[in-house]
Amino acid sequence: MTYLFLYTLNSYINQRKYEWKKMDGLTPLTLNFAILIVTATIFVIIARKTKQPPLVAYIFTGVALGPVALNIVTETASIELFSKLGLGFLLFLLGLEMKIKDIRKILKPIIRISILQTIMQTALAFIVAYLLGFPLMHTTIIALCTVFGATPVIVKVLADQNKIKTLPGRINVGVLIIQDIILVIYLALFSTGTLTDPSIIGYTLLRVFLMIGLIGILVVITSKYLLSGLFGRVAENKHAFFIIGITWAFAFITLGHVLGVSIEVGAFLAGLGLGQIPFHKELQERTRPLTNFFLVIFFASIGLQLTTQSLFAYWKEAVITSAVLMIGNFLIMFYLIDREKFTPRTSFLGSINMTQVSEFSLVVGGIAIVQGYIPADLLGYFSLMALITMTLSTYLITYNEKIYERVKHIFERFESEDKKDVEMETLENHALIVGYNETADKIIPTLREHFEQIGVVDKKIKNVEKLEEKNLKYIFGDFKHEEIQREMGLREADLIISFAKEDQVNKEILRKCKEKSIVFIESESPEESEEYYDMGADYIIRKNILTAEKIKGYLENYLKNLPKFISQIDRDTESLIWGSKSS
Amino acid sequence: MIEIVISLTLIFVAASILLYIFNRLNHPTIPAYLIAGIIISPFVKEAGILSLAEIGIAFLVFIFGISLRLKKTEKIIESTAPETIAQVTIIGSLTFLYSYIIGFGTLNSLYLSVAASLSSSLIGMELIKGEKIKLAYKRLCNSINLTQDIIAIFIFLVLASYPLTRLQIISNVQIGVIITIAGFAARFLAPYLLEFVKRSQEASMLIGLSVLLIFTTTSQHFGISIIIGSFAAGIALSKSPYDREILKTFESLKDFFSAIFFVSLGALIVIPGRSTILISLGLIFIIVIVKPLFTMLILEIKGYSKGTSLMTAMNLDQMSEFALILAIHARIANQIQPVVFQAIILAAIVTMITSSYTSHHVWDIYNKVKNTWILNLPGTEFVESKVPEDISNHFIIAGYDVQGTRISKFLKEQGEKVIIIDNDPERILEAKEENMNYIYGDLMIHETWEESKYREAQMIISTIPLNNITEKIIELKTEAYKIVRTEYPEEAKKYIDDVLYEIVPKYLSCTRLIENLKGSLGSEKYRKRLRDISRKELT
Repeated sequence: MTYLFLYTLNSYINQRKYEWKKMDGLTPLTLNFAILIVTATIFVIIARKTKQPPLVAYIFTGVALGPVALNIVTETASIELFSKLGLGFLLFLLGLEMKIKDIRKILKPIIRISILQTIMQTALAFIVAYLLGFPLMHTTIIALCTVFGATPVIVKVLADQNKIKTLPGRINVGVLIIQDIILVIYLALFSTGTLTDPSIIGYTLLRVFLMIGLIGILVVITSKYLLSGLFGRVAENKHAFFIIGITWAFAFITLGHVLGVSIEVGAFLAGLGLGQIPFHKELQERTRPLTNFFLVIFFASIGLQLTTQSLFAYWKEAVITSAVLMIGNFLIMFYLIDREKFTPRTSFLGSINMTQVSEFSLVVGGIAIVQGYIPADLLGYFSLMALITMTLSTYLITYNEKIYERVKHIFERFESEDKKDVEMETLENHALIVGYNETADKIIPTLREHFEQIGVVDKKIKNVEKLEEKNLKYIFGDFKHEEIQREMGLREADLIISFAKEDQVNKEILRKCKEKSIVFIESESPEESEEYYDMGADYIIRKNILTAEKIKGYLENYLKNLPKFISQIDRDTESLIWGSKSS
Repeated sequence: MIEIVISLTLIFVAASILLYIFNRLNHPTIPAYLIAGIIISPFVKEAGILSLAEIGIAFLVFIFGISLRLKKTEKIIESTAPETIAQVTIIGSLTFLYSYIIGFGTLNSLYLSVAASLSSSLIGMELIKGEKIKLAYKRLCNSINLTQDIIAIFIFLVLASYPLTRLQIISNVQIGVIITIAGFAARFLAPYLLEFVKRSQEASMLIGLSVLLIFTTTSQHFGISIIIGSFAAGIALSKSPYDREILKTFESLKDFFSAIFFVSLGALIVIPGRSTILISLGLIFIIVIVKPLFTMLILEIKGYSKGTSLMTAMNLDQMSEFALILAIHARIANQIQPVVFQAIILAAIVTMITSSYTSHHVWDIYNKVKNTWILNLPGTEFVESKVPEDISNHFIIAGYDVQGTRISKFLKEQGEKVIIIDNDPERILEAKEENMNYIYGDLMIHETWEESKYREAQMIISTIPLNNITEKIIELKTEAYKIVRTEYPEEAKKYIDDVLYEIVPKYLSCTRLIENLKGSLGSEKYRKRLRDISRKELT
């Protein structure tokens, strides 16, 4: 164990050597940073107008401001910190999104796909590099470096389009996670300094798996016994809830780093643990803006790291390799997914998403250069390849469904009886309740008579257990988040009843629901009610008026018909205490 | 780089633990962060963290600027501007005089007086948030806090000029005003920009960030505080409805970076020496004792009821987060002595914690001091009520909101005698117009009930779902029937044996709602008619 610790420490110090940047002020309130953000904003606006994916805008922000073009922005400590956090938080978010019980159905095929894919793509990259005339050692490193799909690119673009939870999306994410683990092993191997001693390789493998297992066990234990209670007790305080969630991510990021299995794997496992508790959706939506902020910096800094001279040192080779790898990777993935008997559509979408070379190739390549395995200008080759494939594949992912429609006829021949996709549930023509309370509880039986599916969104902690048990689709979270609105099918619901008592939420409901849906909204304010009617609400529930009318009736009996009054209040009191449904 | 990630981990772990504890104790957030900072201060030596915290300040002020609905703000501020200005001036000059006499010199005294006179709107709001119904004092606190925050921005404009010479101040105020005007000008442009990227959270976040960074770098360039820049940037984006979109995305960023800011602020505290403790004790005394006294006096003179004044005073008895921001600026620029800085932070922690205690126990405090001079200040006898001398066998209606109004009117139509009790001056005016009997007073104060002749009443109906009011009514020794209001059915069991009946709106409104729902699902005709009828009911 001591040796293990020393070993980890050693590899940590080794890694530190490559952090060549000086630590200057961390404040992002500098001209440098301002130029970066303003440029990114301009590029993103242009990208939106010309329907380009935002990610490309970010990378080109870095390219335009970095050494390749204008050379006016340098990578400061704050940029480096934010881009590091960006990667960590992206994987944390990814973990949050995963429900283990959903993945379990497709776990086996994913493991088969990713292992075979790694082997086949490494072979392909090896052959291409060898044919291009690189020496054997370089070829090996190139092959090992270029095999990975770019997790941030794929996850970001899929998430932007709300496709992460589709079947191809899940296959991609599963494969990427396993690739990330393989990557961690590579990183550990490269840092050891010997690639020839099988005992050290074996040892490294063992260590990485042991550490991942250790974190995994921690995640399982905490998510089972600690997290639900912990987050349940603070969920009502939005601020504390968010900060504790962030802390969880940070704790595992540091743990992952200290145990030598990378920040990314630590962050992913932290997210995965939290993803299994009822509060994950809310946390996800709160973390997303922060992650997006960090990611802008992350992608821009990829562009910032490129330098002109090395970028074009091997440009011909880079272009050729990019072309071959993109097509080759697509074919390999298609073959592998198809082999698992998914429909051609799933296979096509799952494989067209994975055609790029990851920016990790720069990281692994960087270490290989320091260790003296390859010359420094090969980094330009990696960079150019990453730039070409990432940019192109962003378009491929963005338009994957349109492309499929075009080439459908070619792939239809792979169709056969025994191929089918795993079912994913969605809401449609359902009743949607926003904000759960006793009144909502009482109307659910009525709703069941009219609707097959009922969705409930609620952010009150005391209702979590009750709602988890009910046979309906339930999310803990704030309906303000667009992601939650989408998941609950706001645009598809036939009936929406809102007890949210939040003006912003109610207005969004009225703006976004389909025209024919019936909308009931609770509000106590006459001004708001007037607005809601104008916006098309069907009925404003005004509890105080409904109650006042009822009490008036009771008091009338008190004054004129005492026995009736007594029997009325007795009946009410009884059902209040016993909770019977008669009223 | 990884050291900073580890430092951040440490910051967040400590913050989370204290946040968790404070949350369980119902204490506010900021002191939890400051204490977390003190605990980790021996381990975090990273000077870089504090500069990272700077963006936390920028976000805090930026968000404040965005959330100012200008028209509404004007109205809110107008309603209490004289009271607030009187309060801030009195407390500020008292503190200044005191510390100047002790020998702190102008600058230190100036900062101390700012620290003493301004209250925290973040904490004030956090303390109120738990209560769901509209109360007069909530409006009051909200308005005073907002006015103070605006005053704080003005103070920044003047005090955050280094060096603090008259020429420098004048030039900085000029630049600050120009930048703020630029913010107002940009307010007309921002919607076009945001319209461009509609429905993309990411792009609108970037636009928000760009505006913020442009304004902060500009103000840095001209040598004035980033706070003015952040405020102007906030103003630029405050136009509805875009402000809400931007607020939604920036909430997480603000939470994240302001946590770093407050924790690293706490980390600057070293073990306090005797003079630090003495100064902070003085500050605490002024904030916890003197300030509430004057707040109450001013409000009572203005005609607010004792309860409302006390509750408001107990909500404002802490130091403002703006005072902390100002203190750290002054410390970095070497404008104040380290002892003074430390004392301000310490006093902030203490008063922020005590203020949550005082506002949670406001009625215990009331009972302890009700017979002393504190609540019987001269010139504050302002009680207005209309109760017939010989009233008996009457109905007492506590709370004159939607339910109270309808029930009172109904009873009056039936020829019954009714007395209304409320502590909101506006509602009392309404009751006056309806020619009702009324008492302007607090339901928690026994004298109010004495005035209502509750012993001779036939029924007391409370329409206010607050447990302490329900309990107060149960305590009253009378033959009158008691009907109280309870918000949650599961709480109803608690009082069911002590009262005649409990109004539970969630339960009572159900039957009608289900009928309407069934009807609407059944036929379109029903739906249209329901809509027309209920809409008409509004006016």
